[in-house]
Amino acid sequence: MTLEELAASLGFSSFPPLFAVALAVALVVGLIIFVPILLRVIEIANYAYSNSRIQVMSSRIIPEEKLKEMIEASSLAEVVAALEATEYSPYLREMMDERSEAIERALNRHTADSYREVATMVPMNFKKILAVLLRKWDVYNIKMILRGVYAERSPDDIRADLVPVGELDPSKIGVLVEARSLEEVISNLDGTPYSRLAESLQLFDQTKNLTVFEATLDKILYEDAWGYATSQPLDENLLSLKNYLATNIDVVNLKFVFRAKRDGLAAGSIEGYLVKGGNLAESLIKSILEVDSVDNVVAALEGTKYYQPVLAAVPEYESTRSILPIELALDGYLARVGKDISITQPFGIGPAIGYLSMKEMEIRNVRTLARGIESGLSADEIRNLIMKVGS
Amino acid sequence: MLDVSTGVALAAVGAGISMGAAAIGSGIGVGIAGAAGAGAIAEDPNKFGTALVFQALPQTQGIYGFLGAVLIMIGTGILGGFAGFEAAANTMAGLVGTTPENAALIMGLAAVGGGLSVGLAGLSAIGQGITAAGSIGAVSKEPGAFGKCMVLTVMSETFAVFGLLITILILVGLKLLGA
Amino acid sequence: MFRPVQMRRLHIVALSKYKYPLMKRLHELGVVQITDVGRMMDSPEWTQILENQPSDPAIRQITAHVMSLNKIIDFFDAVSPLPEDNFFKFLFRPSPPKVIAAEKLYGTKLLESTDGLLEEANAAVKEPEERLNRVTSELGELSEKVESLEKIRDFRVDLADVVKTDLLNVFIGVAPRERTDEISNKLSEITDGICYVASQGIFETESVVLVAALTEKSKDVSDHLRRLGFERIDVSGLSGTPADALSELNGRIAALNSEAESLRSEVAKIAEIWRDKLLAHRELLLIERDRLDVVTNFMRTDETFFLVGWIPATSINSVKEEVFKVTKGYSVVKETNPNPTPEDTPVHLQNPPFIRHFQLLTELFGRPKYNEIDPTFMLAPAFMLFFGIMLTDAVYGVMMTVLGLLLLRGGGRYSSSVKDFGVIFTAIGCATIGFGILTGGYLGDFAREYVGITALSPIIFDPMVDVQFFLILVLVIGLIHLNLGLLLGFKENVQRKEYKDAFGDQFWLFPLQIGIALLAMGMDLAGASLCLIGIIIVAIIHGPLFFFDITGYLGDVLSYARLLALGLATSGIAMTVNILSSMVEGVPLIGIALGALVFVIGHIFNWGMNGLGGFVHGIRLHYVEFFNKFYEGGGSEYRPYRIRRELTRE
Repeated sequence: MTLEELAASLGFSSFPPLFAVALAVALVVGLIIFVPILLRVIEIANYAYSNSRIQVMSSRIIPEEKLKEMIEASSLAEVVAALEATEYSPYLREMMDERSEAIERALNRHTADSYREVATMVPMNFKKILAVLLRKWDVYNIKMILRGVYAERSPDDIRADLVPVGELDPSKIGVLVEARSLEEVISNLDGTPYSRLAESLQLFDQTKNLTVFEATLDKILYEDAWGYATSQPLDENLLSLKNYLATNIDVVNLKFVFRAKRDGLAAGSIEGYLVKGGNLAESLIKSILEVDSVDNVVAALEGTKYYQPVLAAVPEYESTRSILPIELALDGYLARVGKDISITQPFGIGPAIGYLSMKEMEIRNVRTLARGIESGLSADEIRNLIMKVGS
Repeated sequence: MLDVSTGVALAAVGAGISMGAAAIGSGIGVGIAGAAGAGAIAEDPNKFGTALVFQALPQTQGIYGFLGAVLIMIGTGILGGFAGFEAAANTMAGLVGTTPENAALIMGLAAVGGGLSVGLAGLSAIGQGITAAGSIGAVSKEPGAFGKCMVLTVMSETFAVFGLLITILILVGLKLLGA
Repeated sequence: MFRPVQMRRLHIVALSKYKYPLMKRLHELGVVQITDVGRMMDSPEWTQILENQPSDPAIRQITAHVMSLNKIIDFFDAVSPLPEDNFFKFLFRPSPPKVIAAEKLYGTKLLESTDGLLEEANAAVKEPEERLNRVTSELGELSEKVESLEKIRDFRVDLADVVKTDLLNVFIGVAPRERTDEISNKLSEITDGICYVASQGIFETESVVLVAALTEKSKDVSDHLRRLGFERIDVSGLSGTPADALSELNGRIAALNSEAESLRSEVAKIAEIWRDKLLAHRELLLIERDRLDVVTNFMRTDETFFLVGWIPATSINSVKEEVFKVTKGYSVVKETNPNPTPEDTPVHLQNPPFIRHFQLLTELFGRPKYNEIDPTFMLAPAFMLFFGIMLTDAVYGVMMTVLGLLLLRGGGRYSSSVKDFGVIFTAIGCATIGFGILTGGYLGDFAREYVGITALSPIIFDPMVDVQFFLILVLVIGLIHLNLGLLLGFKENVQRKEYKDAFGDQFWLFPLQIGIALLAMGMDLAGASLCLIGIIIVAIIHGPLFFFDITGYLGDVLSYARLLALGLATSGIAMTVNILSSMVEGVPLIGIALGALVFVIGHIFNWGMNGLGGFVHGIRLHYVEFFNKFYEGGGSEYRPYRIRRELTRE
């Protein structure tokens, strides 16, 4: 059969029209296959730039071996010398004296700068998600201001401790820092998401304990973020954010519960502070609240993903009677979740979540280390305070 | 005057698909890798070498597409215009013992097949670009991974190589190319 | 040459008083890799006798000195940076590395000398540094002032009137525009009307606000202003309208800038005197610190110390001799050949002079393990052959060789990795010339078709014509290459007594391949039964998934077809460039120039792209297809304890 006969048998006058039709059909089928691929590719391309930048930035995070060396340092001067070789060096140069506070300030300013950079370069549809994560630093700042105002430190001193990223306007922060009483700070928070802090004022007046405000702030932060993450239509990125947030909420709650149980607080007095949301079922939290000792909380966690990490820290808790190893284990688990997300989602929110979480860990460790060395702790003691990525 | 216009048209379509589809693939792939490279360079200009190598990898498919198109044009003689094609069709007719019109049609369809093979295989550059982008990020973080990441990136290209190979075999098998 | 260098474990026990001299000598010899003894000594018996060597207190002193040196060096670098070679200069015409002659200083003498140097250098730097800092910070203040004054530039007021007196306090600043009314209301409320507020909108969102109030109320006023978003601008010491003040400030900034400039050149002169000495001392101190640091790996008793390390078998005798010489015989040196070989045995590759440079490509995949074969000696020729086939053009080969030689003559003199690349490029360039001559590729078909030199016709075959022959050739090359890998893998597995892997991973392919060959030659029965034997072996060892072993091997063989594809791509595109340039040559007037341009750029592009392609795919064929058959990699690097000297010469 020649092509002409084939065309004729299919009802075409000659071959070229048949060919044209075949080509058209192939084109349409091709487009149907190709368009979804293309859409996905466009999405990936969006992240290619920002994520490889973030990868370079995270390659500069102080590696574990270096941290180990720094722990062995015998003076802050050596810590500073070790940091000289990192990207902190330009911030350290402005440092006037070698005190741990000065190092912390350098860390804070560096963190603020690098976070701001991440925030400006990510794709548009991701800025909102990042803003949710960066609000952690708003809360951190408000906590520092509350503490500073409570301790009647000068506005300039307080300002030096802040990490000015997040959604709070710099002018707003300026006003907050200038306040001379906690009431004034809180009344100035009017119009921000943190205005609900006013509800805790009464309780604070009774207890005179800043933890009241701090727990409320965490509650506001995580409940708002959780509300955002659950209200949006789910896509891959939001799913990762949700996963990370849920772990974060669980970790915050569990840390609070462990501390309360060690202090022997009753269920009724803690319940109000727990953040709603997260992965842990409400019934489980209820039952955890009812138990009366740290060991029983651990036992109640069996079957959740927090059981193994917490269990590994129990022997140390038992020998030191300090809740810290358990807290470190939980934080380490959170860091692991962040790192996992960064590996499993290279074209999406992953590297940014991983970077933010690793950076948080880095600042925390360097801060611990600097304070520890300044106050003359031994290397072994400091090592016990250092947070590690969970396994 | 024999009518070989259908054959010419088909040959032109084949050459066009070869270059065009491969160019889509390479363009997108290089674009993605380039965006990742720009990100790495923005942070650390020393990453330029790494970025350049990885960005160049998805370009190969475009080159294969170009080569496929040129081979088709040489094989069917349309590089020499209408007359060239006519001459090639006549030779072909003599070789396989059919009318020049039929020979022209065979040549045209062979060109379309060859063009589709290398052209569509060229779309593998998109995947390669994505791997390259990921590799740029990975190598920035862990410079020791350069060799391994390169191997991962070159994997996608295997299919483009096979695409080009099949194009060449079609052209050679149908005696459009070679002796 | 096929295996990494033989290593031995070295144990030295010596009297403590020889510790420093011995460490200094071993540092100079640079062949022993010292390992942490503490980690090996788990048994309680050992821990009873031995204790950890504490770190030397001098280390802290050295670190402090290094920091002080860094401070001055960084200051010099910030003010007058040292010139650095750019990328191309580094590759082709590098400046010779800086060498500073230094005295033989070590131990306490070094520390003392650094002390003196630091004192002198600090004295020289201190005064200009302080002045420069003062000028810079003054500049910063002034430009901040200018920035805020710019906001109120058009507000008509004499800044000399914005003052604080016993009676009256005047503020000027900016506030959100929508709050200006609120400000004046609030202020008149708290001051009972005794205040003056003037405002003028300047930007869309901000207004200049001037407030005059009684000094006794000024604290209250300023508190409220701040809460209402008022940002005060400090204008103390300024007079005239803001515009006048601005021009005066700008004049002062210019004066300060020129002062800063002259200070900088002053510092540059000081840097010239001191920088080299400081750099040399820093390096000497770091070397000294290495010496002191290494002892923390030792264990000790009251009078002796104990160290353990790795050493290449060939250097043992000379090191033994040296140890005895330094310790005057008060030492025990023992060497053992650890068996079974521990995972962390350092791997030192040693290949003949030419092959050595290809180690780079092996290490890019992974350094061999200690008990593994070093595949570099096979990689070098095969890589050259593959590259030659993929670039198939004598002229391109010449270009590659020239590039390699330029690298060797340029950056290769000072940088070992540039030298490696120089050798590799030269080698693969030569291979390309060879293959180009055999296949008659001289800028594609340029020599034959356009210049008409028939002597340059293909010698064995023309890739664009004998495509089938080319395909068979590359597949045969691939089969040979793969079977070489299979044989090596088989031998290695048998040596390691891993017979299951030897048969399941490698051996089954031999009967299968021979069987297929026999089938092709028409010996049906023998061929089929051999094939069956091969398949049965793999099916038994690998289970039902053996099918993928067969297709996998087929894929490996076909993968070598890329040699053909890339080879054709080079000649095809070269040909196209020739066609294109002869086409544009027909353009009137600029035709010839345009043709030449297309010709040159086209060929350089083709050379570059296909050169990169050939390199990358040559590596790939090794890493994926070839290494896969016998090689794992992942050995740890041999890092001898040696002096890392970059700048100083004693």
